[in-house]
Amino acid sequence: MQNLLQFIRTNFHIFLFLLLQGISLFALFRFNRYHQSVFFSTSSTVNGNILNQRKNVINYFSLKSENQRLKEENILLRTRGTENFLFVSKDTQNVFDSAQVLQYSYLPAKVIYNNIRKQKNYFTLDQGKKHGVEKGMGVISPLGVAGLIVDVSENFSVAMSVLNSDFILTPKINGQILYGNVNWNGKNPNLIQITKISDHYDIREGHEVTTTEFGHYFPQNIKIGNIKTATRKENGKYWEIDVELATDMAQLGEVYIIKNAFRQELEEIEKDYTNEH
Amino acid sequence: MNTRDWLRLVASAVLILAVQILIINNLNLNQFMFPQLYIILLISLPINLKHWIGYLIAFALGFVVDSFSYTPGLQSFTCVLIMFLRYSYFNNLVDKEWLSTGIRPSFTTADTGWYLAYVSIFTFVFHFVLLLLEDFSFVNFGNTLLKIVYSSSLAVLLILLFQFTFNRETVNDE
Repeated sequence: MQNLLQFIRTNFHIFLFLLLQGISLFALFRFNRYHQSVFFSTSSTVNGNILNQRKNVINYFSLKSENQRLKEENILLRTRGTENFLFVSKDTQNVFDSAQVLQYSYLPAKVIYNNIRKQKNYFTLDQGKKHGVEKGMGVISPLGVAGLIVDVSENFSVAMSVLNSDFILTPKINGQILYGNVNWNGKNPNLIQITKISDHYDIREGHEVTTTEFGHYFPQNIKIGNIKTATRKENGKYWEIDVELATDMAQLGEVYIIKNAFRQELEEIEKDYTNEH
Repeated sequence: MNTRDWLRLVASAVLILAVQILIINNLNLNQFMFPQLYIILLISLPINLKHWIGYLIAFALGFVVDSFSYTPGLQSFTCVLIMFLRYSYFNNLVDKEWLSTGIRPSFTTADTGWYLAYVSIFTFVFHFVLLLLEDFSFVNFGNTLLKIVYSSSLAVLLILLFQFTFNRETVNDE
């Protein structure tokens, strides 16, 4: 016993080293998948506030470009609008009365933490449960799609970035819904890929890629980007498409969280059928 | 280390961690550059600092950086590992007399060539472990390797810049 205590005492630093490494490894693997949300809920008050303060200062430096982006967005909004509405009665259109129900509403939010370096990127927003944010809501920047809310705390929420290899969307290319996958390959943060599009479709460089309502995250026709390169894979069959993202993910600042008023109803009715496919 | 040294360590830790967390971590230069400037704190600790103190400092630093980038365990693991490698190096490969002087490695206290090599090697190893652990796969190993090379080169530059700027007056500090 005496010897054992002596042994521990002389090698105390080794044990401490192993203990600290053990704690770190435990934390790393325990929290790896959901690390953001788990860590977030425990330390959100302190860190969120400090990051918020930082953002308050940083905001001044980007006012000019933010303004420019907001102007561009205003122009965009003036030229559209009806697709945010669900037409309850088919024979009335473009008249804002009780025949239309607002399906998609927008909640402005600020990005307080952002990352584009990893293969699975997330960003943090300053709006939470208190403000009506829920899991599964889409996030757009003034220029295009940005991400998807995956976790919500009282005051903050975490969104999966489009630059995340788990993020998948169905694209609309040049106005036509194509059943491929918009999914990032983890390499260049300006380019996102579209896979599984059969090569008999006519796809050209410069075509506009927009969202569809599939998944009920986004309204249709929200811009994703423009096709930069489209090549046929060597064995034919499929297109290999690189899309230049409309949103500059490194400069993400002001965003909107999209609330789909009929999401619950849609999921409820689709629930029994989506699993069978 | 006397009280004054400890105070100085805390002050510089606050400054450097603020730079790391509030500026560098939010730069998003491109996907390859993610320099860890704050390891300057680890590699300039006194060379004869008690092991257990060194490990606790390393863990604490890593923990703070982790908690701000939502990567629990990642930085603290790498920091403690670097501390271990640093002790192994000092205990086995430098002569005991120099070790007992308890200097803090910098341009002014050590040979310039030795110091450059020392900073470069430990910075590279740190980024190697950190970024490999972060990606945790060999699928895009080329990408990871590029990240490691770019990030650690930038970090070495930043660390040397910091040393030049803030550490000039400490010539007779031991």
